[in-house]
Amino acid sequence: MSFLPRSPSAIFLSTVGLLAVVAAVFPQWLTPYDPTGIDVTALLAAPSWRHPFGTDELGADVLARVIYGVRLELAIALGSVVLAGVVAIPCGLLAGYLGGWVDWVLTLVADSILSFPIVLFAVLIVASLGASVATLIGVLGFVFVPRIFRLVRGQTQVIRATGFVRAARAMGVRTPTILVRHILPNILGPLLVIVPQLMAIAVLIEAGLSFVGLGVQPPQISWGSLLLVSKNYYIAAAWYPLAVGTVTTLAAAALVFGGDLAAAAVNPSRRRV
Amino acid sequence: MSEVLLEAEDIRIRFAKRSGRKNQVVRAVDGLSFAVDPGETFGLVGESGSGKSTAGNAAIGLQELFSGTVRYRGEPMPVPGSARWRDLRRQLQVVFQDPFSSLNPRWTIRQALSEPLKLHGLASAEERDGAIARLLEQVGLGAELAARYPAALSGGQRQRVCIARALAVQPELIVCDEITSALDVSTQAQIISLLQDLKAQTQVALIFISHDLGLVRGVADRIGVMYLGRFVETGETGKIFARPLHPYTIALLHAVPVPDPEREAARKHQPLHGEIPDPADPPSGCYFRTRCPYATDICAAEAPAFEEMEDGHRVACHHVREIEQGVRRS
Amino acid sequence: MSSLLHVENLGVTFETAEAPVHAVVEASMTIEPGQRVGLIGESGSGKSVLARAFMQLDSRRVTRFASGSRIDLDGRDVLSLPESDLHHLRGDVVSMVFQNPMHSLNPSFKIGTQLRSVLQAHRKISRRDATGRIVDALKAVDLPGAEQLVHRYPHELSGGQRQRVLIAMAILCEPKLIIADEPTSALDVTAQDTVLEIMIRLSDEQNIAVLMITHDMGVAARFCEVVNVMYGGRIVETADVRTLFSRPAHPYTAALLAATPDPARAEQEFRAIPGTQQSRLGVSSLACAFVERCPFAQDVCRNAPDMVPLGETHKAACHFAGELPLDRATPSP
Repeated sequence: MSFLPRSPSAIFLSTVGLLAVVAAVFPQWLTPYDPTGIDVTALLAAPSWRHPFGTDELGADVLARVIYGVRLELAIALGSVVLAGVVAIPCGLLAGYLGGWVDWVLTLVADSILSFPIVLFAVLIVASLGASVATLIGVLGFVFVPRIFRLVRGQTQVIRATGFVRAARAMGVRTPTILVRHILPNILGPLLVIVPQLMAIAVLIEAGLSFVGLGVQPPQISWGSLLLVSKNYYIAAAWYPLAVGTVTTLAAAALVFGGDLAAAAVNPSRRRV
Repeated sequence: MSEVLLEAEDIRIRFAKRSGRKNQVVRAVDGLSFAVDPGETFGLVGESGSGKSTAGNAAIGLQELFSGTVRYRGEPMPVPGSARWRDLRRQLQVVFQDPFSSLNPRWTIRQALSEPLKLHGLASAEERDGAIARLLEQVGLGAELAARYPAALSGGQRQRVCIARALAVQPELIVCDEITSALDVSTQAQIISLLQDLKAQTQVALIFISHDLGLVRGVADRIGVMYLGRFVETGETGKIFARPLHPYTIALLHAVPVPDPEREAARKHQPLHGEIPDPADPPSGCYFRTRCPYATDICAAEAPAFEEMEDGHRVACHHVREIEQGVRRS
Repeated sequence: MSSLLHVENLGVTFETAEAPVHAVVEASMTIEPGQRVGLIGESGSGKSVLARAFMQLDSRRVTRFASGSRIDLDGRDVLSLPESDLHHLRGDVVSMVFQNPMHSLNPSFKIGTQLRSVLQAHRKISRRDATGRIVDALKAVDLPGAEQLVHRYPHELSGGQRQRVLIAMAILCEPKLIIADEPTSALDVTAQDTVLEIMIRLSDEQNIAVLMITHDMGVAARFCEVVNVMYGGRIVETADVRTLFSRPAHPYTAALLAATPDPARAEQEFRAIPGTQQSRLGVSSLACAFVERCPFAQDVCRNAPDMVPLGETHKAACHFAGELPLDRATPSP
């Protein structure tokens, strides 16, 4: 397939992505340390060759905790976006293609959700239903639905007007088939851009929520919960919160750039077959 | 007497248009009647806003009518989307203007040509490759193009694929909507020449929509000249070009530059004054009266009836007799 | 009388990420003052690039001119002019009218404002005098109600009216040459008729030379006095218009004429030219531009032919110029 990465940035980000997947599924391959190990001889040790990010207040290797945290990050980011997509993509296709009252109703619902401030809403839900990974995925998924819906709806409207869709209709192809075989493959590009962007938002919101105690609870490890704990030591062991914060930020950035590159790679006008 | 293939009777099509705060109605097609015989090529000619594309779409049931009927072999056009309407897609096909957007960029040519074959059950999976190769050959393309994507093909090649796609169902009539307007002259000649070969081979009828008068003269058996949704003149191509009777047709023929400098130098161009009226607010009576050198009071008072002058030649003009007799007003 | 525009051996190459594109190769042409010259070619022939070179409109960073190229405009060597001097040429000595009037007018500004900005860029002129000149220009292009028109926005006008506004803009500074790049291709037949009539009249009355770039042989026949035919980045034939249409000497010209529909002829030929144009990505071919598609090609055509003079103004780039049976059949009405 012609979309294998070729440019340096593409290769770099693909490697990062691959590492993230490995970190989520087989974290033990990437670090010899036990993230929950207690070592009273090396509390809050500074970064060294043995501990690139230093150790935390219980002696556990910080890098190991960050790596083990990838699993939850990925679960939350991916889970929320997939949940949103499962709902939003079909709705967007229908609203964009059929128009009329279907479009009117769906857009109304989507716009209403869009008007909620994300973080405030998340806080409210978590406060009433209790903090857990499932709640987080649910809340974020709910909030992402209108964003994916609008993109899909807009793109569907554009593609509906193109010659090949008109030709398909003129041929007698039925609407569901047109939606799935003609329109869906052609909205892949913009989706590939927005999905990682939303994942990045999910990572950052989780970090924020966990930071105020409304997110992931111990003993589960997430970067947000790490930030919550590490902030207490920012004077004595500044590398600790810095390391976690930097990784979080870079991950969000990598997601966004990766999305742009993936969309460009999938663009059919680049193919020279 | 052979049965008429397609017949449109007093069709009217309206679109809603919002201009500022007003809701306006655009009469895209305003009382059109025509018939197409099997194997015949009927040309729809007009400038922008004439409604020719809309009329072409309506003729094969792709456009909702405000009033009037379209009949295929005597049967009224079924509701779009219904099973019978889908069946008729086998008989009535269309090729659009822009070859660059008429093919799904993510599908190979094989996939694009398989779609009609699969949809209408015209070839089993084993037969399909053979059918596709034959279709490609029919339009003058090599079978090896089936594996490629539209981006690798030129505009002319893409348009041939679109024609092949329309032919795949072996239709009785194909609407050609400005199919060469986006192509170079030399490519256009290739496509038209292909179309003429296909006509001879398959006896397919065509509704050929174009603004290019030279093109239409070479392709159509009969033509209808449209202005703001109405016919101003219809009849045999040769007769209309040799002796146009409607002021608009006359103006059109005078306006088209001819690729012959001697003749051009000898002609006197008297460009038509005025602009095409707003289709949402057309003039009363005859739509053309605001630009017509023959217009008088009656032209504003009532729309002229479509009068038959001689065998098949029809004109809608109050002053057609004067024009016929060569009385000219400057 | 020295020529207004003299182009000698012009070669224009664009540096692209993949390979250089030789858009124009060894092109030579001349425009006399007040003359109406045509540049005929299909898409990809290089005609627009050639015209833009006269005013250096393409970015100088990516454009390379072949050594030996010369463009003499109104006595000045365009290729060696600094950007500041070029500014005086554009809009003043040479104006350009583009194809799509929707794209050439700013939808956010009134017509009068846009016209005035062009005038004031090149002349020291008061606002009141400018308005007077603008109204005169609008009247010269047969636009009714010129005094009110200056207060209207582009979207209030039709395509034909907009194109006439652009022509008015082009004549504001009394140019010596107007380059019109497919000015009527986006217009209806009746609007095209009006625009061509106006351009012919202005060219005659104000002695403005016009370079008409088009792919439409009918427009060329009506408008031009001299015609250059381009193919594959090269000018393949130059002739006065009557000679070109009745006695073409280059196979491409003849093929183009044969492929063009003629509304005044009962029988149409639609003789297609086999094959397609090649991409000019990469090394410039040393062969004749038309060799792949020419029905008369021989071995010698692997070497690009020079322009063969065939008369006072007639020349064709073909090894067999003047010897081939290319005569067009006389048309029957």
